Amino acid sequence: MAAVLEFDGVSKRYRSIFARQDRWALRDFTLQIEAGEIVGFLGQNGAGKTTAIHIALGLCVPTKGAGKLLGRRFGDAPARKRIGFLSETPAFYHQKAFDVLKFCGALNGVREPELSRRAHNLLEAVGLASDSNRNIGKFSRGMLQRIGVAQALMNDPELLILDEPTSALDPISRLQVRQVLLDARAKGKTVFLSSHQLSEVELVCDRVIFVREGRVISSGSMSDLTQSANEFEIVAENLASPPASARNAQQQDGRWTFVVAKEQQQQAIEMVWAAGGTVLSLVPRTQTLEELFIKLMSKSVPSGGPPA
Amino acid sequence: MRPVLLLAGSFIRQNRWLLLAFIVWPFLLGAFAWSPQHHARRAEVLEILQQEVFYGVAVVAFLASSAVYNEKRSRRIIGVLSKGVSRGQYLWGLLFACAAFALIYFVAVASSVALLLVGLSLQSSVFLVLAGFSASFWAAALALLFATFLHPFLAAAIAGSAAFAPLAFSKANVAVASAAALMQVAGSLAAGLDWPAVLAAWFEGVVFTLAAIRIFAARDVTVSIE
Repeated sequence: MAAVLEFDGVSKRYRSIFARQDRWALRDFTLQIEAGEIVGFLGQNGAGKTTAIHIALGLCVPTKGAGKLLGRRFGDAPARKRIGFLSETPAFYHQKAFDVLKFCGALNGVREPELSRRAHNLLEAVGLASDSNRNIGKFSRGMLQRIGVAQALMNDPELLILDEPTSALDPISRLQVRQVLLDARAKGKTVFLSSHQLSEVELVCDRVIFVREGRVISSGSMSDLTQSANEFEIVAENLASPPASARNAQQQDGRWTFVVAKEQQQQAIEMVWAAGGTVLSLVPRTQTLEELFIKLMSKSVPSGGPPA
Repeated sequence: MRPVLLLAGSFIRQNRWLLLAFIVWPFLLGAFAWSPQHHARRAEVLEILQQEVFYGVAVVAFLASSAVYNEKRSRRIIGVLSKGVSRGQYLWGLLFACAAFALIYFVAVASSVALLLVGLSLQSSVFLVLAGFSASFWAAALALLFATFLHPFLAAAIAGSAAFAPLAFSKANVAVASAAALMQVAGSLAAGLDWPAVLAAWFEGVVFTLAAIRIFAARDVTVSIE
């Protein structure tokens, strides 16, 4: 499958002339996004997510390394015509919502009558049809964010890059935006989603990439990452107490639920049987994306210094 | 070309109140020289006209110097340059908008002068507009060039100095000081136009813009200028 977005050893240094300080926002950053994937891009504030997105869009120039967007080098304007982008703080020229969408579509080469048709449909999809003739200068932050999602879809993009698309939205609006993302997935679009809303990412993404201090520290499919191969959850009944090797043991309605390590699984089951108990279930333990995020972000990593 | 015109249109729309003030200003100044009893004397009109020409070129240069900075501060630049718009198209769009401002302003200036001075030939009015417009285009392009890597105040100061300083000398060299030469022509209602100065202003304006595009292409647009 062809890569739609590729970073090859990209590093980015921000320099402050007066403070004489260098800050490396990205260090040997390498990743590939394949066509048709919905990828979650996760990391703490300041991890380098937005910088990576800005470099891909040609808004920033990498200090080292290079990359490709839809097969063309970063910064290529014709390649950007085929993508949709929502910034974390969307800002537009103050005009009617309908005209904002038309302006954004026109900049990406969409022509009438398709331009007006898409603007109407997208305003409807993000729940702003009744506000289409209102000046966006009077919009709330949530409404602006919905306009941002709509404008990103005006050119029917092959790749959608969304930086915090739901951060300012209420639950109903979040549902609407999620539906827009799921529709994009159904149409085979590639979506690159940077978000701190981990539940959102868990619901829509096929793959997640974790970034820390400008480097990719972990990447994999959602099911592989959230399923811990080293732990099993056992539910047993007719048991006075759980085996000694059990962790997180809880008793409810006469049933014990506890977690054991993979290598202690057989021993734990035999102990349950030996004590006259019955094993009701044995399942590999899954962890939430939030648990994984916290685990990865609290691990110590070599920091500071320029990239190799 | 379409993105350039779209961007220029949006920039003008955002600054429409300034444009309106730009159109009204020459008529307001002209009203001082007007009297129901007699038509304004040529010397009075020329005095006002000179001020209007200098004012127009300075404001257009300032508008151009602050354009990129304001777009960065408002973060609208991210929304525009993340679309299929090249850095070159973006800068040409801003320059077109500034040029449109200048053209509209000098048409208003020429109209106000024509109202004050009976018998002003159409040719003189056209020369006034052309000279003023060309000087403004030159100053705007130079301001835009420096605004790609300097603070807008510094960029405006440099462009303003380059445009106005040669006026201190009695005869400005057309090639190095085309804007000054054109401001002298526009402010004197000359019967002829300094065509070499017009061509030099346009040529140099294009060269400044191409240099600006080259510099701007290597700049981060998400980071503000220190």
